[in-house]
Amino acid sequence: MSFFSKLFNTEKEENNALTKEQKQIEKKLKNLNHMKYGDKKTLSAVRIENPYFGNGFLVKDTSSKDVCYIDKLGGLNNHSFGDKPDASYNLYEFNVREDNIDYVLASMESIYKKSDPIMEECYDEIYKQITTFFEDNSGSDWDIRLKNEFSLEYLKENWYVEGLSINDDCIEISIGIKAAENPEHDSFYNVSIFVDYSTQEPDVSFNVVW
Amino acid sequence: MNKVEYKKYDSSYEEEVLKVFVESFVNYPLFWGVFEDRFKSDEKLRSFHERLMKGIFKATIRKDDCYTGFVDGKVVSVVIIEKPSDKSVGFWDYAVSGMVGIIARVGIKDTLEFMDMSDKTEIVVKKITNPRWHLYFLSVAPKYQNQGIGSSAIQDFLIPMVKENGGDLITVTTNAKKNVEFYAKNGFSLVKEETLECNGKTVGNWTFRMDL
Repeated sequence: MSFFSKLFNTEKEENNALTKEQKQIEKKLKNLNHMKYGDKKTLSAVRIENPYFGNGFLVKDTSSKDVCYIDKLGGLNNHSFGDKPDASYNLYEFNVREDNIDYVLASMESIYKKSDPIMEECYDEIYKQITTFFEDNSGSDWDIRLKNEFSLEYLKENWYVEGLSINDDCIEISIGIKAAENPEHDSFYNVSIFVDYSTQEPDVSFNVVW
Repeated sequence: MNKVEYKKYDSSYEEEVLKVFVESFVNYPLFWGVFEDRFKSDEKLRSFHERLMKGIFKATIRKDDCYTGFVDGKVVSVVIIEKPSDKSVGFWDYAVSGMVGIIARVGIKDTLEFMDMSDKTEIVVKKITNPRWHLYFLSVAPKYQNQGIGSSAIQDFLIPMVKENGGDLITVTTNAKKNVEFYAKNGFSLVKEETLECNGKTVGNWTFRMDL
């Protein structure tokens, strides 16, 4: 039995009578189908149960030759990345080809197990990028200022995971940090950590988005 | 004017590229009209439009290829293309490219309606199952418009590039009626003309294809 098969309940679930939860999923799928394909039925939901992703439903897109899992419908949470036991976040995107899913899930498991060392490798770069951004924009019309208490130690204690994008070759982890005096100014930048499955080395991306 | 030279997008030109991208879409029905009456002053609308366009640009180039046109070292045009092998730009791409700030400005309902309508503009194109090169955006800096730069981007850059890569189909959609003649003149055939609705506003949508 493949790794993929161990993680998903597929046909057995589909044959059962619809529960209240499944009815809600059906309704969401109908809306998604309408938005994406104008009522053309090409999406279906597949249940996932996994200690790293949590439990929930993935949306399966069969509209092209390469079947792909594209999205989640709800319920997928993870509580372990980067030793953040109180973190609860939505998986925003799961954009993986069906023939690649075993590799992706195995890679994800490995990455999650070493999440603390991965974050340790990233702190200095994230800190440098954030402080540079605030210094460069301190005199702007927006009057952007760092919190007085912001420091490397503050960063290590106060980062959180905003969401994940899981792709065929890498995972992107979007990191939130309450670094600014004015909370609105924290939406001016995005910090993402890309981890390539083949190397499992992190790469910090800092993007000004305002 | 000297010939436009196209280069793959380099973030060291981000400021110039964004300026061209933002300015060329001022008054564009999809990005301007649907939010026009949400703001009390032109200044606030312009500020919002700038942020919206920057978010759209940054989200799009996460998945698609961006090329910058230069004349005498200045950025005059921006071309963004979705190759057959590219994955679609999705909500995640927008979320990490500034759309959170957009939601804060106009609310989640209007933002989702806008994204829903943006999706609808591509429905006809997405039903084309043949491998296609989709011209996502073609921007020409306002002061360089009406000088043949847009046509040149299609004839001298886009078509040769697609052919060189073995492609035989280019698609494009537009929401501006004035662009219909432009694309027809440059060899595109109209596939469908339709009217879409968003936030109580209607927007025209024209889908074109060019078989090479």
